[in-house]
Parts: sequence; structure tokens; C-alpha cells
Amino acid sequence: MKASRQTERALLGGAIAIGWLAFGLSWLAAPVWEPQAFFYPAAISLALYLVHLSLRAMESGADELLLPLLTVPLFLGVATLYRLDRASAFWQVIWILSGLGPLLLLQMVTDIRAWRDHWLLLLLLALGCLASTLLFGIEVYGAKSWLKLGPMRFQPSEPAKILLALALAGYLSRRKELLLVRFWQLGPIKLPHPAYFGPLALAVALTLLLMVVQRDLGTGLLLFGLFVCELFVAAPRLDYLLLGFLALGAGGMVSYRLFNHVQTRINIWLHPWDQAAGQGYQVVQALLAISAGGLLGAGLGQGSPQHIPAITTDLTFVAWCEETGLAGSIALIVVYMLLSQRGLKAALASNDDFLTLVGVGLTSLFTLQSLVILGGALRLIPLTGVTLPLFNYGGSSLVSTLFSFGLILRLSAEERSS
Amino acid sequence: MRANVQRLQKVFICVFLLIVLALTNLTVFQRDKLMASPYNNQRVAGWDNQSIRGGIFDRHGEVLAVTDKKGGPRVYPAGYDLAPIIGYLDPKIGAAGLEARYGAELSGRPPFWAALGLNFPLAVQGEDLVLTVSLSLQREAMRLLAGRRGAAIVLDPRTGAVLALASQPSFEPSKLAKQWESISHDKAAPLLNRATQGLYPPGSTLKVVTLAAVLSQRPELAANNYHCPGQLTLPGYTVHCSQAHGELDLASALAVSCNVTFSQLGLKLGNNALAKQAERAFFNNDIPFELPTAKSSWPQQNVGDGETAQRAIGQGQVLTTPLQMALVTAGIANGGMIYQPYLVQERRLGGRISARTKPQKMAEFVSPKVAAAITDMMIEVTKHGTGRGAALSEIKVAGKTGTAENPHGAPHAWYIGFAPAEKPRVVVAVIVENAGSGAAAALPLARTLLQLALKEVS
Repeated sequence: MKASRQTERALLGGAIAIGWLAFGLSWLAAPVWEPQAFFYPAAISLALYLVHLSLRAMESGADELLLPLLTVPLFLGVATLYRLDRASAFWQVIWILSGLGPLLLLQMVTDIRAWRDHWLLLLLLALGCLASTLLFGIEVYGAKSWLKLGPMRFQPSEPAKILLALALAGYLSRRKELLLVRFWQLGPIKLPHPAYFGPLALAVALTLLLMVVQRDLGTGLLLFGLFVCELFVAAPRLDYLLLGFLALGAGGMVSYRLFNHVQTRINIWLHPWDQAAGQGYQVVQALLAISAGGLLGAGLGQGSPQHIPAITTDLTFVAWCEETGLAGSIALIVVYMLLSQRGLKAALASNDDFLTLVGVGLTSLFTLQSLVILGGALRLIPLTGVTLPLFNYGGSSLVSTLFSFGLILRLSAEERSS
Repeated sequence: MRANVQRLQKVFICVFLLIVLALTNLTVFQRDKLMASPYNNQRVAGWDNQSIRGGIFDRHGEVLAVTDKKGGPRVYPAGYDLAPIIGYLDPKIGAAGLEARYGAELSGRPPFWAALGLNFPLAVQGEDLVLTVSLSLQREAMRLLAGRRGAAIVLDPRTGAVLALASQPSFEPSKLAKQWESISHDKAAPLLNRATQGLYPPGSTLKVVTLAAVLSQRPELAANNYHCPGQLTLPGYTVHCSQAHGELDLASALAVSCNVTFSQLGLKLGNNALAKQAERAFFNNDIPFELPTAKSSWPQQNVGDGETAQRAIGQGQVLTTPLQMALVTAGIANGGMIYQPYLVQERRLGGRISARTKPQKMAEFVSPKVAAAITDMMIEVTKHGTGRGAALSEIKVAGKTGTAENPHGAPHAWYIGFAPAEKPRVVVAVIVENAGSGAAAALPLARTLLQLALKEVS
């Protein structure tokens, strides 16, 4: 057994212990004891231990911190959901189990580098996913970003995000030299080079499209952030990036003027207390719940998160804050920060440009999504309907986040070649 | 590329730190403010349901508020009469008065516990409050004011303990939620605690402050005699007396409440000296108290002679709360030292005392010598002056009447006083809105209250 897997086992044991502790506290606060309550922590512990055993069997050289770090928000998320809504918790466990499968399968892929040449296909698939909701989508919470497959609902923007991250990495790594060309001379007119200009324009267009047509501000913001992060790493041309931000700002202003739902979101963000009983209710109640937590929190199962709408899908983190206080929420945020740092470290495991960009893209998606929802709950930015990855309830989001981490885990096992 | 990834790492760390700062701000620095928000009432009510809320008792152990079971209804045996002090508690409209101020203690969460964010109660039974208030005295004060708008305060000048704090009209706390619409829009403002938050012109009761300024800052003026021709014409204002008082010394000027003399004194002192004296009794400052208080105001900016003269006799832009006047009086009664007023004598948990209020010095209004001199003059008011009606058999009363002109109709009737004058145990301040002369409308109430209160404290 490799030394790194030994460390992984010890840390995983610690993370699982924290999860059981959280469940134990929830049980203490519950009015009646249910024997089936054991199912939740037992299923998660077993699944994660099996992943660890598989990695050991594969003699994987993957980063030993990633799996234990992933365990913490997964486990605590189910513990919090269990306390809020049993059905959500049950399905969340099922999603975790279904997400860990692909995560393991990805470890067996021998050569991810080969994906680079199919960037156009990946891009078309991503756009197809996004377009599918326009054609067949149903509306949930005012955002038209869901597809109905039989009894299941599914959010195609989740796989689209990963596909776009891969496509962009492929595109940028093939055009590295072009990225360094300063201008594209078209007769007397100097334009930003299309190698740079293209992705930026696509990013701005997709963002605005998502914001306006699908009413999904959060995903729009995430995709723009993804493009900016990958471009920044590929070639940090501040002038072009600035141009992209300006274009997004201008587009945002125009859509603010033209579209009601954008205006509503921004107004709620700026003046939640003026409409605390109306449209600002969710934001105000979230702020109050976080604040109610104080330093140590009410204790798991002791808060009153039932006052907050969409607590299981958007704001599970707020319930965590109220019940574990500043101490618990900082601890969780630190785990997210470490996941983000290990993700970027995995991006640098090999010196292949494509793999680095894939790692950067996927980690940026994860990090930005966490920051967008945390910032929204804390009223640093407008609140949008994205989930806190790994923690909130949401099947599509959970499975695709675990897929991303499968790739990141695989990248971390790469070795540097000369 | 490697360097850029490392830069991105740093950017991410910075944003995560920003999130941590925002969290800290919400949970630590904004917490008190946010938890008091009316939109948080449901959460607070939920916390309350986890314990049996503590009772509230008067100084003799009479029940003022009680709850029998977890989340049970709050019963107020003397609701209307005590509402100015105890306030109300309702999951929808929130809390006020002592119910709000001692919400954490009453529900079994001492402040250190609540600050940690621990919402579940430390004990199933909340703490009981034992007040300094006397139920019978409070009832009598409310009865005397019934049908009028006004306020009365009785306190012990030696400690600051409040024996009664009445404000009329009041409301029935247990019926407040049902009657919220009509009560909150009532023009008579029953939710306003007139004793601590009503701002009125103090009229002639303020002459004791002018007197304090003379004796403390310009003692040489006290030896002079003054001449009152019945009126004094100043730029922009003419001061009137009810009659020409002729030649007066300071004591007789206070006894007959001569406006001309006190205006002249005010002009000699100037607005700054007067304001300085008033501020020593906490004018222009928040009075530390367990109920919300309004700030009594003595504007600082330089004003014309007409305005200064008016302020010296308690008119013009000077506004005070009845509590403020009670504290000025308490200062004089207690040798110059004002004690911080308080309502809760002790808190009890399961029959054991968990906290007891220690009387605290709040401000030194005047020196003991000046206090004694003012007391002598206030005794003269009762013996020979406008306050004759306040005299009690065998007990010397020191006092001052006031009749405050105001833009809302008939003058407000005021009386401030204390007894026994030689060794004061009780201070009273009474205002009856638009009731006419202080001697006729406020003084009889104050006399009854003094008489009853003296039986309460020995």
C-alpha cells in the first residue's frame, strides 16, 4: 500500500467520524428515535470506504487529501438535510452513491490527453445541453433550466458546465502561440486576436443568454467566471479580460433595463429590508438565521430554519450556520477553500497545458459556485439559485460535481514528464 | 502558466477570507441589532416555547406577570396598570418594556449564553424578576391619572429605585394583538410611555435648574434682591408675571415662582451656563435605564435674549421627560448626587437570587451645600408659596409647581417634590397634559402619591 493511501485512510476515518457526530447530535434533538436513521450515515461511510479501497487496489497515486475533504461536506450536508427533510436526505444519499461510480470509473481512464482534440465536439454537446432546455425545458422557481425525463427532473446546465470547461481547455491549449499575438490586423483596423476574442465573446453571449432567456443568473455568472479563469491562466492579457468585463457589464446594464426578473433580483439585493415581508423575505430570513447562530450556534436540530424558503435546495448552508454558529461555518468554509487549493494543485501535477487547463476549469467552477452562493446568502452579491456544491440537495449538481472531482482526482495522479 | 495558477490560488483564498469576514460581521457585530428585528419575532417566539418564561413580581411579591407551562399564555393580573413598565410580549408583534429588555433572562438564556448563539435554554424555567415597583402605589398613580393624558414617577432618591412609573392612557397587554390596529393608530398614543419618552416643556419646575446654576456657578447673584414690575420686555419676547411681585430675594422669588426674576437670572448666566448645569443632570444625554428613554434637550447654540430668558423659566426650546425632572429632583433631595434609576431589584432562578441590582451613582448635579440651599427654598414653596397644597401633617415637603405653556391648548400641569424634606426618602414628578395650573391639577395627585409612598419605604 502506498504511503499516500495510508494517510487517506486515516483522514477519511476522521472525516467519517465528524459525520457520525453530526448525525448523533441530530438524533438527540429529534423527538422520536427512528432505527432506519442508521441507513444514512452507514451508506455514506461504506460507499466512501469502498472508494478508498478501490483507489488502493488500483495503486492510484492520486492526492490523498481530496477524498477525505470531499467526505466532510457530503456527510454534513446529508446530516443537515436529514434534520430538515427526510425525503431529500434519502435521495441525496442515492445521488452520492450514483456520483461515486463515475468518480471511480474516471480513475481507470488511461489517457485524458486524447480528449483535447475533440474540443469542438465537446463544445457542441455543451451548447446542445443548454439549448435543449430552451426547447423542452420546464420552469422551476422562475428559471427555465430543467428537463423532465420521465419521473425525474434534470438540469442540463450541470453537464454543460463541465463540457464547456473541457472544450475551452482543449481550444486554448491548441492555440497557445496565437494567444500571445497582440493584435489581429484587418486592413487598417486592429482587433483583439480571435484566439482570445472568440472565447470571450462566447462567454459574454452565453452568460447573457442564460440570464435573460433561461432566467438563470447564477449559472450565467459561473460560466463567465469559468472562461475568465481559464483565459487568465492560459495567457493573462488584462486588456482583453477588461474588455470582456466591460462587455458583460454593458450587457448586464441593458438586461437590467429590459428585463423585470433581473431588476427584481438586484433590487432585493440592494434593499432587502424595505421588502422584508415580500420579495426580500428569503434574503432577510437567511441573514437573520446566519446571525442567530452567534459564535457556537444553536446546536444541530435546535435552530429554526423552517422560516427560510428553499432551504434544502439553495440555502442548506444557512441552516448549518444557524445550528453550528460562526465556528461551524468557518470550519466548513475552510474545507471548501482546501478543496479549491488541492484542485489547483492537481492541475499542476503534470506539465501538460491541456490537463492544467482542465484542472483549472473544473476547480474554478467548483470554487466560483461555492463563492456565488455563499456571497449571495451573506448579501455580498445578489442571491441566485445555484447550489452549494456537495452540500445542498440537488441530484444533477451532486453527480456532476462528483464527476468533476473524479477528473481532478485523476489529474492529481498524473506524473510530470520531461 | 504555473505562475498564473498560483496567482489564481491566491485570488481564491482572498475571496474565501472575505466570506469569513462577512460571516463574522453578521454573527458577532450585527447580531444584537438583527435579533431585535421585527422579522425575527417568530424565531424568538420559538425560542420562548422551549422554556417556562419567568414571572415578574412587585417589591412585596405580588404577581405582575406569570406563565404556567412551556409556551403557555402570559397572564398579567394588573395588565393595564403595569403596561408602561412591563410592556407586552407577542409572537407576531414582538415585545416591549421589561418583557423585551429582560427577554433572554426571562426565557432562561442568560446574556453570556445567548451571545454564544446557544438558543436552547440553559434551564427549563426562566428567571423571575423582582421589581422595585409597588403594585398598590402604581395602581393608585394610574387611577389618579385615569381619564387624562399624563405621567407620574415615584422613586427613592437614595438608590434610584423606581416605586411607580405611570403613563396614561395605557393598554391591556393580553388583548394587544387583537386590538393592534386600533391601538397603534390611536391619537392618544397609549403605546407611548409618557414617563420616559414624552417630551414636554417643563415650565416653572425648571426654575430649580436655573437656581442650581446660579448657586453653583454665580453664588454672588444669590445675595442680591430683585425687583419685579410684573413684566420684562426683551427683544422678541415679553416675560409676564401674574402680578407685580415688587422687591424679592431669591427664596421668595422661587416661592411665588416669579418669572421676571428668573428670566433676569437666566440672562445674567447666559445660555451656556444654564445648558451646562442641565447637562449635569443628563439633559442632551441618554439616561441609562431599563426602558427606552427620550433625550431631554437644552439646545447649545447661541440664542437671543428673549429665548434665553424663556429657557430659564422652562419655556422656549427646552424639552424634558418626566423621568428627567424626577432625576433633577432626586439630585437635590440626595445632597446633589443622582442615582441611576432602576426597576429590577433582583433576578431569581428557582427561588435563589441569581443577580441583584446595586444602586449606582449616575451624576453629581450640585454640591451638597447647594442642594441644601435649594431644598430650603423648596420647603418655602410648600410653606408660603405656590405649593402650599402639598403640605402633609407632621412631614415637611419640598416641592415646585409648574404650569407649562404649550402649542397644543391649555397649559400642562407639573409638580416635582420630595419628602421628608430633612431626610428625603421619596421623590415624585407628575405631569398632567393640558390640565391648567400645576398647583391645582398636578399637586393634589403628587401629594397623595407622596403620602402613600412614604409608607412603602422607611
